Amino acid sequence: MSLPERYAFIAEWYDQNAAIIRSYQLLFYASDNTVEMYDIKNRRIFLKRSKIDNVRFEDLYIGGTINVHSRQLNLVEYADEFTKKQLSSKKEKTLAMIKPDAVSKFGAIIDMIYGGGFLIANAKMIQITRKDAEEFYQEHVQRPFFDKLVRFMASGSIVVMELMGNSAVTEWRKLLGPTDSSKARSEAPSSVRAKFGTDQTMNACHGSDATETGQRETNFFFGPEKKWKNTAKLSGSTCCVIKPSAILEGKAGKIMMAIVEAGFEVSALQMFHLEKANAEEFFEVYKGVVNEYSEMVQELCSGPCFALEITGKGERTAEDFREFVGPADPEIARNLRPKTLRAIFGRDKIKNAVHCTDLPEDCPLEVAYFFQILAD
Amino acid sequence: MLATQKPRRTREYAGPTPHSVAIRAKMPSKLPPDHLILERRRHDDAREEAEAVTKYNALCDLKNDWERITDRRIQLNTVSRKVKGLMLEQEFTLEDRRERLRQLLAAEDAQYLEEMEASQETMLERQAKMRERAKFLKEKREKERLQVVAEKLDQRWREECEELRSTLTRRHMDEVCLERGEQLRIKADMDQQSQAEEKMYADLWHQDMLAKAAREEREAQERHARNQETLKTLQKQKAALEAKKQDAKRLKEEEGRLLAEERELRKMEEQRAQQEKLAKQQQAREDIATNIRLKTKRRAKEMQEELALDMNILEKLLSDSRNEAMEIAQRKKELREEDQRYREYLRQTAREDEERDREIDKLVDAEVQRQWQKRLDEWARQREARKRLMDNVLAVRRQQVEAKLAENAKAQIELQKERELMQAAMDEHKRLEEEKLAGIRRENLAYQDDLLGQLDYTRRQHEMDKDEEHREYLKGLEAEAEYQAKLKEALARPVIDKMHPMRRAHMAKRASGVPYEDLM
Repeated sequence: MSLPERYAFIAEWYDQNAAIIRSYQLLFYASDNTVEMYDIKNRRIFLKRSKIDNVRFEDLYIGGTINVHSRQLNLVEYADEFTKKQLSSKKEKTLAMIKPDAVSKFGAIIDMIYGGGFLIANAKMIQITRKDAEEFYQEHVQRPFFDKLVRFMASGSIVVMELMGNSAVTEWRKLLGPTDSSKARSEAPSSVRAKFGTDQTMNACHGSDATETGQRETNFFFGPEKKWKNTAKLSGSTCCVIKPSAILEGKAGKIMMAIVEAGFEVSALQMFHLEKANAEEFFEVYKGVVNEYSEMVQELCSGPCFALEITGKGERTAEDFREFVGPADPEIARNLRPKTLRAIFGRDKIKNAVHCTDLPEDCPLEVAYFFQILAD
Repeated sequence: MLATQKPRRTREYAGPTPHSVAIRAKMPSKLPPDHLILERRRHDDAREEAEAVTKYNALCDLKNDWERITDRRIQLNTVSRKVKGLMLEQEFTLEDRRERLRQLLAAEDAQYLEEMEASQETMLERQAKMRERAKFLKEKREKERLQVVAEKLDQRWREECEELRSTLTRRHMDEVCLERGEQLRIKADMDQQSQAEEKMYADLWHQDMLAKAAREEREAQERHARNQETLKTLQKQKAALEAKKQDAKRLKEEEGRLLAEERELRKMEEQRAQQEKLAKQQQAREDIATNIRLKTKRRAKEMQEELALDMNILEKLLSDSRNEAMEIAQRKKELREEDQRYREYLRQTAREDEERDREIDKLVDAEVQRQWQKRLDEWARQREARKRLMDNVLAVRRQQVEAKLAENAKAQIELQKERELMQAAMDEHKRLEEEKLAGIRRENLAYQDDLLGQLDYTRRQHEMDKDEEHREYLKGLEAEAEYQAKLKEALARPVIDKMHPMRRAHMAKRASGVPYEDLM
């Protein structure tokens, strides 16, 4: 294209000092990855066109969060028709739901999602009631399998995700395969339902059938109207955070698979977009203790992260999990504990794939911080 | 309403007569005389009471406020104290946690360090490793050596086995034959291909030639057509010129004819004028003659009448004279005299008549002359007019002719110019044609030069090839000679590379001069 591709968004930033939300026009130039910000209220340039390393074109979508010079900006709206036209089809959103039968294999499914080129914009593990299930499946109310389906959905925890990608609705349905799992096994053996589904009802995952339904279902789970109770147990558990850099490299699914394979249980899961203040608060114990405190904070708020509540080993969960995660420095881990998570997935001391609670007595605090304080 | 009817406001009442007025009596006040003081006292009392109440209220308010504020302050202070305590506690716990974390991490780091150190190898281990490595290398080298030996042995056997060699030779011969056959086939293919190429080129050349011939023919036709066109144009121009010339000639002829006509006209006119003059003269003469005749007749008549009268008178007189004889003689004398006088008179009259006639004639002549003159003048005028008309006509005609002539001349000049232009165009055309021809000739010459150059080049190439061939032949001869010499030399002094060791030793000994017998 002869025109330089310039995408414009309306971005909001919560100014802590003034305690107000400031909105900016954010212009992203795809040709050289530069960003320009325009203060809408004061009508002047806020940030001259400059290169921001951690902003990628893939991160720019409505509802997404980017980090510009330690300011966390929430993209709320397209600012011009061009961007809207270009991106609304490219950055389509759909709802993916892992049903109770496949929740134990959510790591593999998430890995497939990342492998399929999707971006997980939001995710959480919740327990829905029969009423919620009925409301969600209201269009199937006349069908004979409705009662079975609703009962099945309310039988255990589920993982709901907001996927984003190029024509995400059809692509996700393609990745899911046919509704009937046995048919899927014969027709599309590499699809999600073929691998993890059991039959027509217990078919591992749900996907929206169209853009509008995707919108509605996404709003149903991630909209502001409804508060969903997460599945955190808040006792006998430890906290694990998959860091943004690992998610960016698409390792999140593999990390989850490794955790589950090692015999741990993931009792709660949620995706967070942390702000700097939250990250600082979360890492307050490390302030003054480790030298990399500020980089850790920077890393944690550089993008979305997965917070997991790990259980499954009784009283020794925290110690065992810490053992499993390995030394903080992946270099040391690779030398001494080559089978640990950080040895396999870590890159350096900051981007060491996961954070896990170090002190056993901090476990309830950290779990509660994510699943009680931040989730509400 | 009248002024008198207005209700009074005063206490005054006017009486019925002037200056009579009454004042109504004023009733004494109902209030006591010190009512103002009393009133004042009452007000003061009330104010004092109110002030006292206000003061009391203010005091109560103050007390209340104080109590409230103090309570709040106490509460706030308590809360902030508690909060501060909690914060402090929190901070302490945090510090505590940090300390524990620090210890944990330090312990872990230390452990990792220890482990790292433990995992590093010692000197002895390194020596053992090196020794092992040396051993391994040695073994490897030995293995390689053995392999080489086996290979060499195999090679010797191969070289020494007659049967194998013959088989191999036969196989080799077969291969060579096969390959030679293949080569021949490829050569035939190549020949065929080159023939096909030559044929293709010949075809192409032929086509080119045909195309060239066709083009030349077409060009010649075009040139012919162009020449025809030019010729036609020239002929047309010539015809136009001829027509112009004819026109000019015709104009000149016409002019001549017009001039002749004019001359004729003038001549005719003159003739007519002459005729007319003559006719006029004749007329005048006739008129005058008639006049004279008439005059003469009238004169004669008058004379006769006079004569008759005279005769009458005379007869009377005579009759009178007869009466008187003397008188008659006298009379006679007198008569004679009379007669003589009469005769004189007659003569005089005749002379007078003649004179008058002459005078009349002269007058008539003058008249005639005048008339004639008038007539002549008239004629002259008419002629003048006619002449002017004629002149006009002629002038117009001449003008026309002149215009025509001028036009003619102009046309001639134009024609001349056109002819010149045509000439120039033709010259230009001729020049261009010549240039084109020269260009074509030059191109042809260049082409000829090229062809000649190509021919020369080909010839030279041929010569060079021939030279090369010759040189190669010479070289071949030389090489052959050399080879032959070498062969002869080799034949004369055969050297065997792979001599048998026994034989080699034997030869060496013999060379060093040890007698043959010693070896035996």
